[in-house]
Amino acid sequence: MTVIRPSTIVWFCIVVAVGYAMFQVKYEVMQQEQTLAGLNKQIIDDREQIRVLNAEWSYLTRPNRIEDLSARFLHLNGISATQILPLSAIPERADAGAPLAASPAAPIIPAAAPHFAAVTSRSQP
Amino acid sequence: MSTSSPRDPNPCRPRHFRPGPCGPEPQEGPAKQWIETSRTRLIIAGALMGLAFVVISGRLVEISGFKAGDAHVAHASAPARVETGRADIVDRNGVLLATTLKAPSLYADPKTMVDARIDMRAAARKIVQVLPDLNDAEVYAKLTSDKSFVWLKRQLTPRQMAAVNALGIPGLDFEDEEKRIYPQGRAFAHVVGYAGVDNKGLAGIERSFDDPLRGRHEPLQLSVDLRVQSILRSEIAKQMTEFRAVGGSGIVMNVNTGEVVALVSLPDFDPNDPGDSPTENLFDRVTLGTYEIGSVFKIFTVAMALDDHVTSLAGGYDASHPIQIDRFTIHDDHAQNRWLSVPEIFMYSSNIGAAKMAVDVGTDRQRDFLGKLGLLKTPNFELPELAAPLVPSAWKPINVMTIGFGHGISVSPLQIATAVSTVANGGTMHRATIIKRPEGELVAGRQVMSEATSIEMRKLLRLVVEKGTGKLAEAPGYVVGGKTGTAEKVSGKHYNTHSLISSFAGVFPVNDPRYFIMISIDEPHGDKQSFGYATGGWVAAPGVSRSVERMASLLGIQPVDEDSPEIRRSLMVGLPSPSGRKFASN
Repeated sequence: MTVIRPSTIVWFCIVVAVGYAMFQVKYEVMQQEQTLAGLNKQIIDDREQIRVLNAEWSYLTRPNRIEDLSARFLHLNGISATQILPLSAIPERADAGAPLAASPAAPIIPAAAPHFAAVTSRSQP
Repeated sequence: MSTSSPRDPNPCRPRHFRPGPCGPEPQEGPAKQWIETSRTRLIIAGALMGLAFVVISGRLVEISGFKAGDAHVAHASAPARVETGRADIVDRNGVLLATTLKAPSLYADPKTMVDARIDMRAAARKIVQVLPDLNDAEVYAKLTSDKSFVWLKRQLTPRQMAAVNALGIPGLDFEDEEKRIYPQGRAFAHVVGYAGVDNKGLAGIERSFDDPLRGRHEPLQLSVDLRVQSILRSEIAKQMTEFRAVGGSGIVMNVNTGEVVALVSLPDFDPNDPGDSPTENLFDRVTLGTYEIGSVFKIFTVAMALDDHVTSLAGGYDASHPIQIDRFTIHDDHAQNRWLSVPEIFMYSSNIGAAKMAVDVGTDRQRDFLGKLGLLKTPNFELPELAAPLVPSAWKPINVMTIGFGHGISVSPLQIATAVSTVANGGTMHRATIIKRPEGELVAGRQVMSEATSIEMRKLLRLVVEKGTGKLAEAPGYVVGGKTGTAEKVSGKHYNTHSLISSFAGVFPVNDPRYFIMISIDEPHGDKQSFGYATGGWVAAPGVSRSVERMASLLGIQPVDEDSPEIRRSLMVGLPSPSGRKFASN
């Protein structure tokens, strides 16, 4: 009569456990792959949507359309050179509490038609 | 191991220690040798197998333990990008100019429909009801054809697709196709061009970059700026309407890099439906049109004379009498009938003075100089619609004179832009491009004239706007300098005095040139506001003025005070006083 040695039993258990674990991992991976494929498809669909929305955004922000809308609802005018100042023209605040200088900085271009005499007295950047 | 040991009943069963012999073990002779050989071989084979296992386990540990975050592995699981047959085209700020979207196309399988016993006439009628641009008879003919695949309509909208599905006719099916969309419509019609239904580029960038666009994923970035383009286009359109012109063109170029920032040709077309516009609208006036541009050419004549030291800003020519040559008479449009200094010739746009100056420079040097500015051969540019300039075959004395003031040679506005940019930027010629150059890249150029000439030319260009024919181009704060040009168009063998091309080509800010701008109006008609004039100074210059005012802040140009002493000094030109004395212009 053959006696089953304990080592044989141990090995047998290990084989069963490893086999089970392997299939378990395999199914797990298959499931994960399926999820991944689903997510990838979702991402591609979303990217496709983003492309459509980008195209639509570009279409809706056409300068002529914005111009029309602005003229209809905002009543804004184009920016003129008289409204632009160099950074250096903004007076520095002496301390945080003090009020700003009473006279605003002079624009680079005088708002009225520039004339030579008025200009020479003003410092320029 | 003795032969006397008892025979095992199962000699091959596993043993836990010293394996006994499975059979009688030969003591000596060839049999013993064979057994020894076999053992050695077994040991070698076993060692090799063992080694293989060690390698495999080692690799296993390496992959699972040390390479877990490997980009290579991560990449395999990353989602694929949206596959499109054509890359997007964007402007210099990344605004979308052309993109590819999926669009379903409708096809029919007439054989299946026959098998399904469908009333073809009724089916055709229903299809035409939901797709009204199809023709009833044509659809019927297609459905009754003996095929198993016929296209009914390409590239449907999602709504049309739903409507066709709602018909529930078997044998109709869709295939995803790609449709090229131009969200900005007409704004960039001549730059971007368009692609046909099979995604083949047929015009513009779509055509010249057809292969690269198919093979890449990253968008192609152009040097054009949508905002600047839109401003230039609307201002040209405005001038065309006001002066009842047949066409107009314009270009804005960065003088220091050669990048085209805006390129407008009117009338234009909708690239989403190019067949909808007359074919002549497809014509790109800026690159494919060549024109005798008139007095704008005096920029090159004067630059050439100054660079060759044939004359100087203090020099001058007698413009009191028209020139008679062959059967032609050259006279001045703004005749002063006296001796004119070089700055005066330029600011009053004297043909007589320019012609005499050109003669002084001479035939060969004139041809060389214009050649160096790229005016005598087809420019190297990315758009496929490019024209070769029309240059006289034999450069006769009369040609030297007329070319001196811009007649007898036809060049495209693109060439003018490149050449004037060169004159203004310090004399360095840059190749024109419509592809964005990397920020801060050092742009290679060829020095074709001295910097001193360029600085003198800036003064003269400013003088024209300050005191000469181009006063209406002034844009306060942005120091515009430029030259007007009015050319009579050739009709048949003669110049037609009533059909003009009126242009203004300028640079701003001219004290430190950043951008070139040119507007040409084709066949303008003078109106009350322009006192009947249809010249460049009246027709094109106001458009330039308004364009510069609107676009300068977008281009990052800080306004300056033209009347400040530094700028006055840098642009000062000596002009003779009427009595002959010279005084500083102010």
